[in-house]
Amino acid sequence: MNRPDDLEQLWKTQPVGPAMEGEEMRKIVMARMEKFDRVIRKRDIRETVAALVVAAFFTYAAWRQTNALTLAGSVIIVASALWTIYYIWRHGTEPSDPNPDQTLAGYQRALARKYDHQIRLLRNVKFWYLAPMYVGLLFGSAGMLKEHAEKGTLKWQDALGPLFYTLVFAAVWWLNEVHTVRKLQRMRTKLMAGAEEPETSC
Amino acid sequence: MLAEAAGANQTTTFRAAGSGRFCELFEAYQPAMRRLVAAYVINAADREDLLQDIATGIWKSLPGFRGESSERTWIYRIAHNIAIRYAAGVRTRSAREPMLEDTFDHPSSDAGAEAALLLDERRRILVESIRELPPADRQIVTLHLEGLSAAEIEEITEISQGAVATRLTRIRKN
Repeated sequence: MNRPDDLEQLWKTQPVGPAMEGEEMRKIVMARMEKFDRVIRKRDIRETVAALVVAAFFTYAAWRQTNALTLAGSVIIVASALWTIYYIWRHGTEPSDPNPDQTLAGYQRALARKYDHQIRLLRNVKFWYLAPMYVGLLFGSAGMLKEHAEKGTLKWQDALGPLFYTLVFAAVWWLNEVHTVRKLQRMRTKLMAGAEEPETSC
Repeated sequence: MLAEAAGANQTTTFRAAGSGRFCELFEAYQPAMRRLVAAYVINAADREDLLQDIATGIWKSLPGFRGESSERTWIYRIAHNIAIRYAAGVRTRSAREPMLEDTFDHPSSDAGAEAALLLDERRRILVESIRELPPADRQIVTLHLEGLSAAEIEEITEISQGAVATRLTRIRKN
């Protein structure tokens, strides 16, 4: 059996690859931090522009509508697009990571709280993001279908639009609430493995 | 206006001083950090990525370091916390990736080569055994192997010295 000193020796003599200059690492750290900020900023701008385009398009659509249902649908979509923009800029920024300068148990608890917060946000996506817009689209589609029915031009192809956006919304819901939440839950479980282990103090 | 300029000047001074301190700390603790990284992730690219994450954590935490604990315990605490988080988010890409030394030259004589291979194998077993431990145990073992005293391990983990000794004995037995 190895003596403790042997293990320490074995551990400390493991090859660890080429050494890097501190200045080189400092530049990498700066670049990573800037890249992270840039990615978040770009994502927020991209989503805001998309919401603005949607809001502008449906404002125009609402202005030209005479059908009450389609008009209500357009108004709901415009309102939800503006709400999305507000939400992105008010809550969209990533919550800051807990300070790693603390005990393992404290850090694990802080991270678990962060994951729980993210999971909660993702589970709420359907309320603040998907549902209002989906309801608006349903109203719009109902209005159009009613119009076609009144004119006697209702075709089965009219169902393709609602079917398409329902599938898109279902995919976005699945991605957020099922896929990403499961991933976060897995990470949380892995992170907390052994965290609640009772201490065997002497 | 003057106050703003003075504030900006202080920030610049701090950044310059912080940069120097960061470089010193990184260079001093780099070998230990690289060993620690190997205890958490297998893949070489993940190891580099994790090392950069740890360096980022140190850089961000440096302004808050008040010297209440020793520099060494402070660095290890940051490094382990970030490594545990990183490992939780990484899928095992390859169950058994070759150790870094496989790319190094070994002595040419048969006896020397055999000894080097044996050493490689023992290191591999040690690192793999550590990787399989739960986070808290892994932290204690690596800190112990880095030569930290029980008091220093207690400072980092807040697990009492007695409990650290008990855990080490249990881990060795397993």
